[in-house]
Amino acid sequence: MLLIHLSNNVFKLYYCNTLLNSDLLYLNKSSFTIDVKSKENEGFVGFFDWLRSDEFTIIGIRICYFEDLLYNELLLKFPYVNSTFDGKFTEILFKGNSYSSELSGDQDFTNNYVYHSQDNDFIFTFGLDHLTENELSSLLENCEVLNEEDLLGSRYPEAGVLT
Amino acid sequence: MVGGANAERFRTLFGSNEVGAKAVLDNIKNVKIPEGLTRESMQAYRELITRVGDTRGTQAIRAKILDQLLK
Repeated sequence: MLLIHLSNNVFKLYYCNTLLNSDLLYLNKSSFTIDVKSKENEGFVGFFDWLRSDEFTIIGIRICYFEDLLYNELLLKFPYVNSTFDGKFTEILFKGNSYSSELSGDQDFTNNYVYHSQDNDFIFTFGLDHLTENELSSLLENCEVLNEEDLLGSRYPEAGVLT
Repeated sequence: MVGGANAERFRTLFGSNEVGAKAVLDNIKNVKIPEGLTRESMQAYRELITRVGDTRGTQAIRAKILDQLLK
Protein backbone atom coordinates (compact mmCIF):
# COMPACT_ATOMS: atom_id res chain seq x y z
CA MET A 1 0.00 0.00 0.00
CA LEU A 2 1.02 3.59 -0.50
CA LEU A 3 1.28 5.84 2.51
CA ILE A 4 1.42 9.59 2.05
CA HIS A 5 2.78 11.36 5.10
CA LEU A 6 1.55 14.93 5.20
CA SER A 7 3.16 17.49 7.44
CA ASN A 8 3.13 21.26 7.36
CA ASN A 9 5.24 22.10 4.34
CA VAL A 10 6.29 18.77 2.97
CA PHE A 11 4.86 15.41 2.09
CA LYS A 12 6.64 12.11 1.69
CA LEU A 13 5.64 8.82 0.09
CA TYR A 14 6.18 5.42 1.64
CA TYR A 15 5.49 1.98 0.25
CA CYS A 16 4.70 -1.13 2.25
CA ASN A 17 4.29 -4.41 0.41
CA THR A 18 1.69 -5.71 2.84
CA LEU A 19 -1.73 -4.38 3.69
CA LEU A 20 -1.82 -3.04 7.22
CA ASN A 21 -4.78 -3.54 9.47
CA SER A 22 -3.88 -1.56 12.53
CA ASP A 23 -5.37 1.25 14.57
CA LEU A 24 -1.89 2.57 15.23
CA LEU A 25 1.07 3.16 12.92
CA TYR A 26 4.57 4.34 13.67
CA LEU A 27 6.53 6.53 11.31
CA ASN A 28 9.76 8.36 12.07
CA LYS A 29 9.23 7.45 15.72
CA SER A 30 5.90 9.25 15.85
CA SER A 31 2.66 7.39 16.44
CA PHE A 32 -0.39 7.85 14.24
CA THR A 33 -3.91 6.88 15.28
CA ILE A 34 -6.50 5.78 12.77
CA ASP A 35 -9.33 8.21 12.16
CA VAL A 36 -12.59 6.71 13.35
CA LYS A 37 -14.50 7.43 10.16
CA SER A 38 -12.04 5.70 7.89
CA LYS A 39 -12.04 2.72 10.24
CA GLU A 40 -15.83 2.56 10.40
CA ASN A 41 -16.00 2.65 6.61
CA GLU A 42 -13.39 -0.13 6.28
CA GLY A 43 -11.18 2.01 4.09
CA PHE A 44 -13.89 3.03 1.65
CA VAL A 45 -14.12 6.78 2.17
CA GLY A 46 -14.16 8.05 -1.40
CA PHE A 47 -12.43 7.43 -4.71
CA PHE A 48 -8.99 8.07 -6.10
CA ASP A 49 -7.42 8.27 -9.53
CA TRP A 50 -3.77 7.61 -10.23
CA LEU A 51 -2.43 10.49 -12.30
CA ARG A 52 -0.37 9.18 -15.20
CA SER A 53 1.99 10.95 -17.55
CA ASP A 54 1.86 7.92 -19.84
CA GLU A 55 0.42 4.43 -19.62
CA PHE A 56 3.36 3.19 -17.53
CA THR A 57 4.10 6.12 -15.27
CA ILE A 58 2.29 7.37 -12.19
CA ILE A 59 3.16 10.90 -11.14
CA GLY A 60 0.40 11.76 -8.70
CA ILE A 61 -2.97 11.05 -7.22
CA ARG A 62 -6.39 12.69 -7.41
CA ILE A 63 -8.77 12.11 -4.53
CA CYS A 64 -12.43 12.74 -3.94
CA TYR A 65 -13.64 11.87 -0.47
CA PHE A 66 -17.30 11.68 0.46
CA GLU A 67 -18.29 15.21 1.38
CA ASP A 68 -19.50 14.40 4.90
CA LEU A 69 -16.06 13.19 5.94
CA LEU A 70 -14.22 16.54 5.66
CA TYR A 71 -11.04 14.87 4.39
CA ASN A 72 -11.04 17.04 1.26
CA GLU A 73 -11.02 20.16 3.43
CA LEU A 74 -8.31 18.69 5.59
CA LEU A 75 -6.07 17.98 2.60
CA LEU A 76 -6.48 21.47 1.22
CA LYS A 77 -4.85 22.94 4.32
CA PHE A 78 -1.54 21.67 2.99
CA PRO A 79 0.18 23.97 0.48
CA TYR A 80 1.24 21.18 -1.90
CA VAL A 81 -2.32 19.86 -2.31
CA ASN A 82 -4.23 21.33 -5.23
CA SER A 83 -7.96 21.79 -5.59
CA THR A 84 -9.35 20.82 -9.01
CA PHE A 85 -12.66 20.48 -10.82
CA ASP A 86 -14.33 23.31 -8.92
CA GLY A 87 -13.16 22.01 -5.59
CA LYS A 88 -14.61 18.52 -6.00
CA PHE A 89 -11.17 16.89 -6.11
CA THR A 90 -7.79 17.28 -4.50
CA GLU A 91 -4.56 16.40 -6.25
CA ILE A 92 -1.03 15.73 -5.11
CA LEU A 93 1.67 15.56 -7.76
CA PHE A 94 4.66 13.43 -6.83
CA LYS A 95 6.81 14.71 -9.67
CA GLY A 96 6.35 16.84 -12.74
CA ASN A 97 3.38 19.10 -13.23
CA SER A 98 1.24 17.61 -15.96
CA TYR A 99 -0.57 14.35 -16.52
CA SER A 100 -2.80 12.73 -19.09
CA SER A 101 -6.45 13.15 -18.15
CA GLU A 102 -7.40 10.32 -20.48
CA LEU A 103 -5.19 7.88 -18.57
CA SER A 104 -6.27 8.97 -15.11
CA GLY A 105 -9.78 7.72 -14.40
CA ASP A 106 -9.33 4.75 -12.08
CA GLN A 107 -11.91 5.74 -9.45
CA ASP A 108 -10.31 3.19 -7.17
CA PHE A 109 -11.46 2.82 -3.58
CA THR A 110 -9.62 0.19 -1.57
CA ASN A 111 -7.61 0.40 1.64
CA ASN A 112 -8.00 4.14 1.92
CA TYR A 113 -7.41 4.96 5.58
CA VAL A 114 -6.54 8.16 7.41
CA TYR A 115 -4.28 8.42 10.46
CA HIS A 116 -3.27 11.43 12.51
CA SER A 117 -0.52 12.19 15.00
CA GLN A 118 -0.58 14.40 18.05
CA ASP A 119 1.42 16.96 16.07
CA ASN A 120 -1.32 17.15 13.43
CA ASP A 121 0.64 15.25 10.85
CA PHE A 122 -1.41 12.84 8.78
CA ILE A 123 -0.97 9.60 6.90
CA PHE A 124 -3.33 8.72 4.08
CA THR A 125 -3.12 5.15 2.78
CA PHE A 126 -4.11 3.81 -0.63
CA GLY A 127 -4.44 0.31 -1.99
CA LEU A 128 -2.21 -0.46 -4.97
CA ASP A 129 -3.39 -3.89 -5.91
CA HIS A 130 -4.61 -3.19 -9.40
CA LEU A 131 -1.56 -1.29 -10.62
CA THR A 132 0.54 -2.94 -13.30
CA GLU A 133 4.14 -3.86 -12.60
CA ASN A 134 5.35 -0.87 -14.62
CA GLU A 135 3.00 1.50 -12.85
CA LEU A 136 4.08 0.23 -9.46
CA SER A 137 7.75 0.58 -10.43
CA SER A 138 7.21 4.18 -11.46
CA LEU A 139 5.48 4.90 -8.18
CA LEU A 140 8.24 3.26 -6.17
CA GLU A 141 10.76 5.70 -7.64
CA ASN A 142 9.13 8.30 -5.40
CA CYS A 143 8.76 6.15 -2.29
CA GLU A 144 10.80 5.06 0.65
CA VAL A 145 10.13 1.39 1.22
CA LEU A 146 9.11 0.32 4.70
CA ASN A 147 8.12 -3.05 5.99
CA GLU A 148 5.28 -4.03 8.23
CA GLU A 149 7.49 -4.26 11.33
CA ASP A 150 8.63 -0.66 10.85
CA LEU A 151 5.09 0.67 10.61
CA LEU A 152 3.62 -1.41 13.39
CA GLY A 153 6.35 -0.31 15.78
CA SER A 154 7.90 -3.70 16.33
CA ARG A 155 11.34 -2.21 15.84
CA TYR A 156 10.73 0.59 18.27
CA PRO A 157 10.03 -0.99 21.65
CA GLU A 158 10.55 2.41 23.21
CA ALA A 159 7.31 3.41 21.51
CA GLY A 160 5.51 1.16 23.94
CA VAL A 161 4.45 -1.52 21.52
CA LEU A 162 4.68 -5.12 22.57
CA THR A 163 6.18 -7.30 19.89
CA MET B 1 -21.34 -2.36 3.68
CA VAL B 2 -19.14 -1.37 0.73
CA GLY B 3 -15.67 -1.38 2.28
CA GLY B 4 -13.36 -4.18 3.30
CA ALA B 5 -14.06 -7.47 1.52
CA ASN B 6 -16.90 -5.92 -0.44
CA ALA B 7 -14.52 -3.39 -1.94
CA GLU B 8 -12.62 -6.27 -3.48
CA ARG B 9 -15.85 -7.73 -4.82
CA PHE B 10 -16.74 -4.42 -6.43
CA ARG B 11 -13.29 -4.28 -7.94
CA THR B 12 -13.85 -7.72 -9.41
CA LEU B 13 -17.23 -6.67 -10.74
CA PHE B 14 -16.18 -3.36 -12.28
CA GLY B 15 -12.64 -3.97 -13.46
CA SER B 16 -10.23 -1.04 -13.63
CA ASN B 17 -11.13 2.51 -14.63
CA GLU B 18 -13.66 3.46 -17.28
CA VAL B 19 -12.27 1.01 -19.82
CA GLY B 20 -12.81 -1.94 -17.53
CA ALA B 21 -16.28 -0.75 -16.60
CA LYS B 22 -17.24 -0.21 -20.25
CA ALA B 23 -16.16 -3.76 -21.09
CA VAL B 24 -18.36 -5.08 -18.30
CA LEU B 25 -21.34 -2.99 -19.39
CA ASP B 26 -20.95 -4.14 -22.99
CA ASN B 27 -21.13 -7.72 -21.76
CA ILE B 28 -23.71 -7.18 -19.04
CA LYS B 29 -25.88 -10.17 -19.97
CA ASN B 30 -22.99 -12.51 -19.17
CA VAL B 31 -21.80 -10.78 -16.04
CA LYS B 32 -21.70 -12.90 -12.91
CA ILE B 33 -22.04 -11.05 -9.63
CA PRO B 34 -19.06 -11.88 -7.41
CA GLU B 35 -19.92 -14.33 -4.68
CA GLY B 36 -20.84 -12.57 -1.45
CA LEU B 37 -21.78 -9.25 -3.04
CA THR B 38 -25.31 -8.58 -1.90
CA ARG B 39 -28.09 -6.54 -3.43
CA GLU B 40 -27.97 -4.23 -0.41
CA SER B 41 -24.26 -3.58 -0.94
CA MET B 42 -24.81 -2.80 -4.61
CA GLN B 43 -27.60 -0.39 -3.71
CA ALA B 44 -25.35 1.27 -1.13
CA TYR B 45 -22.56 1.70 -3.69
CA ARG B 46 -25.06 3.07 -6.21
CA GLU B 47 -26.10 5.73 -3.73
CA LEU B 48 -22.55 6.59 -2.71
CA ILE B 49 -21.37 7.38 -6.22
CA THR B 50 -23.92 10.12 -6.57
CA ARG B 51 -21.91 11.99 -3.93
CA VAL B 52 -18.60 12.24 -5.75
CA GLY B 53 -17.22 13.80 -8.90
CA ASP B 54 -16.61 11.72 -11.99
CA THR B 55 -13.92 13.18 -14.22
CA ARG B 56 -13.79 10.33 -16.77
CA GLY B 57 -17.34 9.03 -16.55
CA THR B 58 -16.17 5.89 -14.76
CA GLN B 59 -18.82 6.11 -12.07
CA ALA B 60 -21.55 6.78 -14.63
CA ILE B 61 -20.71 3.51 -16.35
CA ARG B 62 -20.59 1.68 -13.02
CA ALA B 63 -24.02 3.15 -12.22
CA LYS B 64 -25.39 1.68 -15.45
CA ILE B 65 -23.92 -1.70 -14.55
CA LEU B 66 -25.56 -1.63 -11.15
CA ASP B 67 -28.86 -0.44 -12.58
CA GLN B 68 -28.85 -3.45 -14.88
CA LEU B 69 -27.94 -5.87 -12.11
CA LEU B 70 -30.47 -4.41 -9.68
CA LYS B 71 -33.42 -4.62 -12.07
